[in-house]
Amino acid sequence: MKRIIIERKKNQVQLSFNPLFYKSYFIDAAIQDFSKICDAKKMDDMLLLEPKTDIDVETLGYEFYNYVLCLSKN
Amino acid sequence: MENYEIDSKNGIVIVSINPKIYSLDIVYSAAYIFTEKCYVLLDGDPLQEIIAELRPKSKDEDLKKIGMEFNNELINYANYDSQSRKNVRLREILLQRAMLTNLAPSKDANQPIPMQNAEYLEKEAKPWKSSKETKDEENNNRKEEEPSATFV
Repeated sequence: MKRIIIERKKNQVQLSFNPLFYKSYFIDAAIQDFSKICDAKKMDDMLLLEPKTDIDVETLGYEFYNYVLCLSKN
Repeated sequence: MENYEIDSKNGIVIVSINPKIYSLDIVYSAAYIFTEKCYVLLDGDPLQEIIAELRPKSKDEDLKKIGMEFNNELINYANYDSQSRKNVRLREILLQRAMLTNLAPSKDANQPIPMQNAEYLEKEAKPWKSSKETKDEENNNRKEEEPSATFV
């Protein structure tokens, strides 16, 4: 299953998280921490990120994933 | 038998982890270390099979090397985990001791020093001198006292 879907035309990235590894409160915390970098829309089982700055959408998606992992580890 | 697959087309390594050997905490720790040079995605089932997808941030990285290094990191943290479990009692004892030595000062701490202690501070708690210096000092004292003795 593809967890990161990049839509370059819309300048968006769709993320889906496995809830067994990524808890929703860590995702919420990451959304808050990324609030200056991107807008986030939470859907049923996915998260839509739209960059506010000129950051590449692919980099944004993967960095967000890494950040949630770091929060989960701690 | 290798537990990793290399997808050169997409530039990723997929490592399969047995959760009976490596607990979720160990996997998190190893993955955390790799976030510096890779993008890490965890998937699968923590009871059956954990999948770690590693995508190097730099295109020059050797994918096979990354897969093998991730396995090494898993072993490293598994060892750390088992050692810390063994030493848990010892750490508790050390912590208890450390806490006991740093007790809060009692109410008597602000009261003046008793006479005995004051005398000790005056007589004994002086800067250290070598034995030669003390001998010289004693000789000087004697010389000062001797002339008066001869006149008498």
